[in-house]
Amino acid sequence: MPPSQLKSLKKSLRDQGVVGPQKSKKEKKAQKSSKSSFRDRNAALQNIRDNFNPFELRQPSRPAKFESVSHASANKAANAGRYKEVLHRPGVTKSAGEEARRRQLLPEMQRRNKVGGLVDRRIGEGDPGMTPEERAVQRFAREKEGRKGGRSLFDLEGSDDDEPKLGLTHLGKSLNEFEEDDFVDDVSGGEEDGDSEDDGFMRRKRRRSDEDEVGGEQDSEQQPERKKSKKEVMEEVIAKSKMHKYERQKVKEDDEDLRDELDKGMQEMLAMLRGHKPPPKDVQQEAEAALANGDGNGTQMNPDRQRLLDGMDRSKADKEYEVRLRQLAQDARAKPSDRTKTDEEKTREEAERLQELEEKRTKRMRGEAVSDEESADDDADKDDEKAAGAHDVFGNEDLGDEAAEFGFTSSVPVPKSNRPEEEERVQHDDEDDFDVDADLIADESDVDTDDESEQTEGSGDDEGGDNPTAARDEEEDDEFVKGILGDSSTDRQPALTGANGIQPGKTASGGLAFTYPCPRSHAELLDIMKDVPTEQQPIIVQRVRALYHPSLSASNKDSMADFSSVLVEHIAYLGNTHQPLATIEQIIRHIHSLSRTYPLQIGEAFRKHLQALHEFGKPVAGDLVIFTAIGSIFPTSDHFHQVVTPAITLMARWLGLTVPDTAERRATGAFITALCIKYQNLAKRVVPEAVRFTLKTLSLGSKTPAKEMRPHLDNLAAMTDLWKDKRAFQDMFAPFLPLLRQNGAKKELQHLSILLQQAAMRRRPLELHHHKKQPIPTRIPKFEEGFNPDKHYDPDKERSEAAKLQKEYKRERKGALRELRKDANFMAREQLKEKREKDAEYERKQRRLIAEIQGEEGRESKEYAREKEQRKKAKGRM
Amino acid sequence: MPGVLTDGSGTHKRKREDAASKAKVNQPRKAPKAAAPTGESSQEKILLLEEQILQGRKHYNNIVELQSHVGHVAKKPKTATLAAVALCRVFCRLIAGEELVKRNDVTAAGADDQVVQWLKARLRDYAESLASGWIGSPDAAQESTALTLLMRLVKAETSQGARRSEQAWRTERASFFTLVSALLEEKDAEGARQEFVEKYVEEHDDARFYTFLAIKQYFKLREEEEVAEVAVGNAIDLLSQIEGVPDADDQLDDWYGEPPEGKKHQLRSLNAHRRVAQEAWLSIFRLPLNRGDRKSILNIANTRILPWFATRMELLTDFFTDSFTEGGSLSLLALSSIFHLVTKRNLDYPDFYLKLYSLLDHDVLHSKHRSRFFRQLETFMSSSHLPAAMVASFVKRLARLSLQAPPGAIVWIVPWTYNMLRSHPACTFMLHRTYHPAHAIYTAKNPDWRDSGMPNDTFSMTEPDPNHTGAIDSSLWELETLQFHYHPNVATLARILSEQFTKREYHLEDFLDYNYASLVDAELGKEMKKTPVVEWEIPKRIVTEEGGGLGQLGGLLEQAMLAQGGVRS
Repeated sequence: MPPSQLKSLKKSLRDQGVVGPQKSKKEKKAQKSSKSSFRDRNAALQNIRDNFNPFELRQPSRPAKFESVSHASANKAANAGRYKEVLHRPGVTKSAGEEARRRQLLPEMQRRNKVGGLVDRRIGEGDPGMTPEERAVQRFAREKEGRKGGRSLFDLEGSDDDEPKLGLTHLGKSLNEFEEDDFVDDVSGGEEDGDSEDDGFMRRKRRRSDEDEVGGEQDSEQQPERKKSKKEVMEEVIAKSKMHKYERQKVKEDDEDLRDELDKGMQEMLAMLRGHKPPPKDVQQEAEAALANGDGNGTQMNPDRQRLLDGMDRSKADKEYEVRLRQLAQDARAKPSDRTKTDEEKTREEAERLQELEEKRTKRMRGEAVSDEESADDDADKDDEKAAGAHDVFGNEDLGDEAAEFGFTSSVPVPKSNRPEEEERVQHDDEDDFDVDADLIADESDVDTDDESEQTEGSGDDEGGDNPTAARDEEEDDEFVKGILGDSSTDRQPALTGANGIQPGKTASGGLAFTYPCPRSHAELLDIMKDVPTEQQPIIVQRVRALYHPSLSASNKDSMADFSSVLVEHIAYLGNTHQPLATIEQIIRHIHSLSRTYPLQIGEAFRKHLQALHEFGKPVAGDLVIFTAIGSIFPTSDHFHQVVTPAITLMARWLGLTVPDTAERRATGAFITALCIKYQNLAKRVVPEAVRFTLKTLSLGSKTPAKEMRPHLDNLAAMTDLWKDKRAFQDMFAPFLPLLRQNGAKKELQHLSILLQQAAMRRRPLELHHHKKQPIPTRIPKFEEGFNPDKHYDPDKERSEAAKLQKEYKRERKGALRELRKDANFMAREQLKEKREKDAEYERKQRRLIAEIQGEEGRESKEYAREKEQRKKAKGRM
Repeated sequence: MPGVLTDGSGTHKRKREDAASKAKVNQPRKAPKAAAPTGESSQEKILLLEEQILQGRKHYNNIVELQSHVGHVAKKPKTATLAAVALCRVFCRLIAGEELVKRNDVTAAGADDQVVQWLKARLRDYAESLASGWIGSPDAAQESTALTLLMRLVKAETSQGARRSEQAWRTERASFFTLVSALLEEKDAEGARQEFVEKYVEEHDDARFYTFLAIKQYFKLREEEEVAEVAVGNAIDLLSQIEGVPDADDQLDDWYGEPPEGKKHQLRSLNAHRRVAQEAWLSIFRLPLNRGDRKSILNIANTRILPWFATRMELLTDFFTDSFTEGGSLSLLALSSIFHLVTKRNLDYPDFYLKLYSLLDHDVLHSKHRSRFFRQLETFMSSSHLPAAMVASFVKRLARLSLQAPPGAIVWIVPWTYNMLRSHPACTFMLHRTYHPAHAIYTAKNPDWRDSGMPNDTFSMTEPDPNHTGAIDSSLWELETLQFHYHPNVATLARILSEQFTKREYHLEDFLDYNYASLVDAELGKEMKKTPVVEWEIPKRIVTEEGGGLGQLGGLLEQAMLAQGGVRS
């Protein structure tokens, strides 16, 4: 059995040296002299007290589970701030909370559901620290002071600063108080100074002084400089900006006034400038008019309105009004006309345009995307590829066809028809393209978007070039189309009315008709051209283009699209039938000009032709013409082009697979090689097959006539010039040296050997891999110096922040809940107490009443009994 | 000797009765099938003749008559078949009755001996007529019949005691040899050969053994004469069909004829089987082979021939080496066989890579079997223990060749180079070599390279030995140049060499089968998604010149158009 409380208290007191055996005087003196002894004694006593009430202190809610010698625990003493073991004193905190509630929550609770009421604001009322005498003195002093100023009691304006405001109230609170923030009401903290009443008061006071400040500065000068709150600063800023705005407005108004004045004098001034006097103003008349109109402003009234006022027919006026309104609506808005540009500007613009085009071309040559949309598309593609490729970097699993990453696809085409939105987007691309190089696309497309009404007026103004951006193309177009469009409009008349069913007229200059049905298939075109000498075919093409110019009719656009693909077919046909090249060239140029408007159709037509050639395998004369046409119509320098790439691949195939063993093949090969060189004129890409073919041809040596060799030697010279900067130049062309020597081509030999020598001078070992070194992925576990298990080492900053916030939120929420619960407990307790008090009161009252009644009753009954006695006595007496 | 005679006649009788009853059983079944009365009668006649033969020697002349029926196979196939079957039965019985064996006893001298000789001659006639006339005929059923009949004869011949049956297998006068030589000589006997191999050679170990022997003998006999090319092809065809190589001695237990006596018999030894097979093959190798034959031999070399050559591989290697010198796809096939020997059979063949290197030329990149070559090359070069100098030579040589190669070849060469450089880091200097004062190309070879460049590439294209080409000190300028290839995809692919080598390796199989057609198809097969860009400037002249004539290109075009003709037929 443990010793009793008293005994252990005594023991501990003795142990601590608080009590003990009598000390000698010397010892006592020594003890007294050291000041700390007293403090020690107090501390010791506190310690004993704590020990004797184990519930005064609470151990940490989560004690350390295991003994650990972590860095943190070792440092615990050193940096207590990081992780301190708080000794909780539940009793103390509880009573503090209780106290705070009693102070704040209780009055609120008591005031609940109560409206109005009186606040005793007399000085010192409710202040326990003041004696009634002091109160009286202060009140008196105040009263005296007030009297001295001579103000009336009800003077609201001039109330002095210290006086609590007797303003308007709502629900017993001052209206000003509602505007204040609510934070003062925070009950939870026991550490607040708690004098919210006072606080609010102070604040109110402060604000009022602010108002003073804004109104006039004189006050602030007197007052000492005080740090402004944020709110004040903002208000100041707002006020300033308002002031500036007002000032600006004022200046503007002034300006306007001035301008009005000037306007008034304008007429006179103009007249003076012109050199003659203004007609003398009939001031009188004007005055009369003003009088008649009854218009104070002195402006003239609209005559119509005047008439209407004068009593015109109402309906008629309405009608007229309608008409006018419509006219107004239809009136063309005034357009700003373009200034005529000077020659310098023109040249500069032209130069800029060329530069821009060249930039675009170079970009395409490097294989970069030109327009934004394309690039986004490409990027997405690339990302996909990367995503696919990234898997492969270290994982060895085979993810599909690796060759496909480089665009090598199996020959099976992927059907794209099930992607309508894709199609739509493509359409958009077109539009964009038109926007981007509007000046390059022929004027047709611009005209198409114009109003229909323009068409009825004839394409005359179209020709006049009201669209300045297209003017340049007009010039070029002129050459193709002017023959017909330049003619009198009577000629054009049938075309304008006409759809495609016009009979070919048999009139005309040079036996050619002026009108033709628009050929929409090659057979139709041949039908038209059958009696026409080849030289004149371009004229027919020209006339058809003019007749079915898309600006003339909406349906012409389709017809022209068909016509342009027919033309592509036709040049192949002309080539196959060995027509003069000059004519073919003319038609190619027509196609080129058309291709600005119908790039898709013409490209498709060329591709169709290439497909046919690919299936057949061997080019015929027409195909050579097609190759030539592609080389001039499409930009051959592009990294990838839907028409050019297959074309050059087909040409290279022929060169690669053909042995130059016959004169015919040699001739064809010479042309195709030359064409390949022409294709690569700008991009300077290498065509190995061309080198090979030329090498093979030249190695035939003396067996072939010199005349046949000549073009190949020329090709060789062109190739060497074209690829002289390539690093493998030597390796490519060194094998030609003995062949040239053998063929006796001295000039070429010299040329080549010079180039080879230059290439040798430039030759250096390759240095392709100046890459940034790639870091080897580390596999070492990440070791944290001074690891603290309580800290979170999340490398992801965002996530750790989020976790922190989450934790804080949770803690706050818990705290708030706890406080609310405590509040509720408190309130319940208080209510219970109140109820009990009430009940007790009631009981007491009842008991009192009952006692009263009983007393009275007793008295009455005594009275009665006495009365009865008396009566009896009286009776008896009687 | 009456006893013997009676004995013989007794057996004859019994057999005859058997035959008769068989005939009786057969007849009603065949009767409805026979449509023509003449056929019916000739059948009966044949049966009658057969019966008579079996009755005694005096009717032996019927054999001649039956033989003449067999000879008229083209006119009356049905009768001929019947006659052949009958004759086969006859001979089988005669052999079983030892009628074709010379008697040893003195009494039966002259006449008997003559009869035996005569019968033997008839038997050979019969076998030869079957072999030469029937085998190789377009009628498959007939061929099959002949084969079956001949093999039954063989069975009969080889089932008469150990010594005699071995002789029947071996001698070139016996039916088996006749059959094998017929199979070798006939042009259209694929079916028969296949059936022969499937039914007999594969099934029976002695049949296989003696087939090899017969083939060897056949070519040995005709060593002096000109061997028909057909025979060579047929022999290869026949031999290539023989699949089942026995693994051990005790697997040899299927016999067609008499089982060999004794444990030590050569038929029971796997080594003997191997030797005879090797000799058969070697006899073929010694013949003047044409490319097709060589090709088919090389094609099956790894699977069908090598198993037989467990020991004497050098003989096979000689053949492969010879084939290599033929060039073209044969060299490749030979090389792959040699490679197989080197890797699987520990063959020491120091010149292998020298030979392989000599195969790299322009033709191989343009040839039909390019992808096969590349596939093999990848296998040959896949070892990581190859010397870097040699790998560098291969890489450099292919790079040099790719300067005139079609895109399909380049598409493979580039990723292969990537893989090679990745597995042989010493070779990456060919892509990236910064200046180093100690390196030979800066000091010894090009002392004043700063001024006069490096005119001499250290790599020599003419050096045949890949170990001494000096490629490792060179650079792959060629592949850098191919980054500017006209085909966009090829150019993009070539760019992987100048990017960081992050990928472990490329899967080369994906890059193998590209050619012009697939490249063009891939391009034209797609729909045009975007509007094609159009050249913005319309040139005034394309093929003509200011003066009115044709320009240079125009002139070439005109010539080419004339050369090319205008009709696409």
